[in-house]
Amino acid sequence: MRKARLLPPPRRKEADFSLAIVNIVLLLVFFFLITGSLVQNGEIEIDLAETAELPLERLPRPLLLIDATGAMALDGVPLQADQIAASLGETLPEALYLLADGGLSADRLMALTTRPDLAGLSLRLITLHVRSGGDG
Amino acid sequence: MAGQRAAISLAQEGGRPRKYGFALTPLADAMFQLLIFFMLSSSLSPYSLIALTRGAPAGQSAVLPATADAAASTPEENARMVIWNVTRGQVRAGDQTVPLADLPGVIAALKAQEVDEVLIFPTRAATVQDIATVLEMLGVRGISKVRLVSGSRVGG
Repeated sequence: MRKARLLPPPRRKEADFSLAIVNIVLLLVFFFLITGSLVQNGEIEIDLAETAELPLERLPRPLLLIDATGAMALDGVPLQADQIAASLGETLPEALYLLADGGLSADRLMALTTRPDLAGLSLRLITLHVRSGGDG
Repeated sequence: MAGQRAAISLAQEGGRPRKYGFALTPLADAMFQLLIFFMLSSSLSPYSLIALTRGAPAGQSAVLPATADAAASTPEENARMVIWNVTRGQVRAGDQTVPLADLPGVIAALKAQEVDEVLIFPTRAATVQDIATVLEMLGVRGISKVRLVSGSRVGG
């Protein structure tokens, strides 16, 4: 076989998609940063009470998790009810957010509102927003 | 002369200056690490908040809309008030029992009668879901004062 004497074809420059990938991934990171709420272990495993007509909120802190058995964890740290005030620090925050299982007895929830060491602290129940029937 | 030598030493053998390209692969790797971290550690669930207390004295709490007077802690003398016992899936008011699904109609009737305060006693059978449902319906439908009273010994 005779070798061709023509010059080899010019090497085509391969398209570099790195910058496009970085851009897309950066947009995804921004999306998760803006729309997501960082959660601790167990905080997404309970069945929250559901509401449909209240405005949307992000998952706030400090967050007291109360599961169906009544076990509590403050921002991921297991504790007893009488340790909550001490765990919140010397200066109590404005509010304590309760992530309580929807099937939990209301008595357990109400018991927190009567604790003298939590008096003056605004307790706010977190619910899961679900679409109402009318929204489709 | 010395400057010319330095310039020559930086050049490649062919005489053309070496091009230093910006490597994007490590940047893409770091971005992917961040993306995976946020995907695994964040929750996209839509949440809502219901205020159970506003720093009110223990045992009595108020769920008030922003327009209401948060400082009011005792029932007004001429305020029209109803008392509800919340049980599992139902509300008892006097001798009447109303399923939670029918509460919007009841609340509309209360509004028509100018009732502006509801006292809620959760019974032993009530769950957090029942409380959330009742508080949501009252708050959204404009009942100005809702008091959640704990310590009820009423059975469900």
